[in-house]
Amino acid sequence: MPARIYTPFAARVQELRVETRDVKTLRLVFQDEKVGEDFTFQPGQFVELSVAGEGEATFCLASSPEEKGYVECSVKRVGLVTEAIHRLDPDALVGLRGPYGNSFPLDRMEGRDLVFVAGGIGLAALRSLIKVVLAEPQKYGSILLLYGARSEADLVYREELEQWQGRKDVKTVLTVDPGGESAGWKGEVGFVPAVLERLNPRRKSSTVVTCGPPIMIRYVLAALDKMGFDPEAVITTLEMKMKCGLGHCGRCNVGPLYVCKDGPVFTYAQIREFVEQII
Amino acid sequence: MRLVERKTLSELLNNRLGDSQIIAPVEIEGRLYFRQLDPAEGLAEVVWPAADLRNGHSTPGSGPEGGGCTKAAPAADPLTVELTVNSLKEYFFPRRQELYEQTPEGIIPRPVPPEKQRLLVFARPCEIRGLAILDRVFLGEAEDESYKRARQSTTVVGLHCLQPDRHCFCTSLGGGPFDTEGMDLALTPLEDERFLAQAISDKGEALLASLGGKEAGKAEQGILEELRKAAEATIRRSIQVPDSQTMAERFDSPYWGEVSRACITCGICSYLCPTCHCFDIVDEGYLRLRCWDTCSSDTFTRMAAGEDPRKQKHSRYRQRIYHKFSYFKENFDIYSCVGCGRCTRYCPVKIDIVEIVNGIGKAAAAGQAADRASGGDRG
Repeated sequence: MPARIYTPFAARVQELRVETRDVKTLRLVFQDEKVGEDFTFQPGQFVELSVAGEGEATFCLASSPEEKGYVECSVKRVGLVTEAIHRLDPDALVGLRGPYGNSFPLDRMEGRDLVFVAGGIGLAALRSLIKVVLAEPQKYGSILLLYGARSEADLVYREELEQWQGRKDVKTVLTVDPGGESAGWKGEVGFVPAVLERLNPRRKSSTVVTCGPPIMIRYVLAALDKMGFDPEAVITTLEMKMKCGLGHCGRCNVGPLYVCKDGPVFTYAQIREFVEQII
Repeated sequence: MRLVERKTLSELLNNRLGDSQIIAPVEIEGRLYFRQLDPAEGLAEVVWPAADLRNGHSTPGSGPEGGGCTKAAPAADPLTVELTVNSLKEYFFPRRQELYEQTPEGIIPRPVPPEKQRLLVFARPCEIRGLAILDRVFLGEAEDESYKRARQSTTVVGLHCLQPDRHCFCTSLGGGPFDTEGMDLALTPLEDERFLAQAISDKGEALLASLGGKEAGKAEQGILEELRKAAEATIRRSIQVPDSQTMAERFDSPYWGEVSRACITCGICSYLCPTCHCFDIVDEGYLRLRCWDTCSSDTFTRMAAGEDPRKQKHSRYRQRIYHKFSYFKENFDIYSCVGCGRCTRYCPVKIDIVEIVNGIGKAAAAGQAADRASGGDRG
């Protein structure tokens, strides 16, 4: 019995960019042009990406929905599937199904000051949103991006970070964990939550969007709490093991929520009572 | 309602064997299992329900007693006292399902097998209630087409339970040994190899018409009522799910560590459960499969980078209970449990779901737990 809800589209690897020693960004083109034209998504949604004989895993869509003809995912090498993705040859064929999940509430972000707080590969989950926001910055108030990684070498999207740093309509602050800086490092040194507190964004008019390793999210949420941010104006995107992406397989269930279909984007207010169970 | 001879029913099933798949209880090493019948074998393997339990049939409560070595005497006709070991879910949500093939050259869907009508015979009310619960998952927002096809092509011939055993607790969850919900045809075994047959749906009406038989009268109605009362009286267990506030307050209770201590995370409770539906998607060479899984497994929520929100065994056992009695209820307004008792009957370490759920209210509340939680346990 076939179960077509699980059958992916075939896509070709057009480009496999090296971001860091363990992160690569994959640019994928649907084999069937028509599928590519019909494939639309919203920032914050994710896909299931599969490699023949290796398996399937969940990745957020890191490109902008406005970029037509391809999608991008950034993949950190941590397990079997990600290892296989890193080894893919250009032009290799992968499976891609989705998009799944909800998306960032762009309409509710209009007119607000925006604060993006990302750590490590977590920036991949915000990149799509940041690109959409920066395409029409006039819709929003001030824009702040705080991005941190363990070391300089672990910062992803270096070219884009430079571009964003060059823009006047966005303040881009980079930070590395203590000891992760080189002699010429011009950014901040310190953990993301601490730097965030130092930057002290405006509490009332800001919407914060954060993604990073669980421990970072935990401390960022705590810092925002301490600074008095409204949990309704704090947005995060969660990661949990997933298989189906449809709310069936039970893996990402936490409280009454399924991260795959009720999320992955949640306000802090929504997940406050379960947050310790997830991150 | 009609009085149907076992012989007539047997003939009908025999005739259907050629063009339909028949799923019925068969005996394997003294226990009953639902199996798809092999047309070559005919009905030889089918264990027929019996009304008279006194003459050489097994007695209530016989069979596996929740673990360890049991003297499960292989009964000649144990159907009326014993549920099948496996639930029916595997005929709708297979243990192992081939999804598609993915090679480096392309994605190849699996061929669709020709549509065949299926006849599910002697399915117990709790089983069928289990399907109604699975429907909420697989026929919801994201419809699972293979599940849907299986449901649509199946005619359900249900069987009332005359002698629920000591692990049954369906009546405390809105079910009952004489429930007919979800059945097409409902059978009640009578003496002299006869059945009272009641059409519940149009499909059942058609089936009953082909079975013929004498129209049942007042006397039989009375017998049915008596049998129902007797069966319901046999059920002594009752699960009492605490209100949502109590459930929330006990989430961090040390209770979960205590009650799950014996658990060996074998997953048998999930695999035999008519409503558990967690699964994995895995590769076997170039074949991608959907296979049953269990939330008690220590790999269930472990991510590739090592993060695992339910690292501790007790947090996984708690997940099973909360999913059934709190989250599912919140999402679908029904508990994800039918009271069949399989998880207790076959648990190798005698973990008893009724005892555990009924004890939640008396457990220490969250505040006390927080102080006692061991370091690093945030599951």
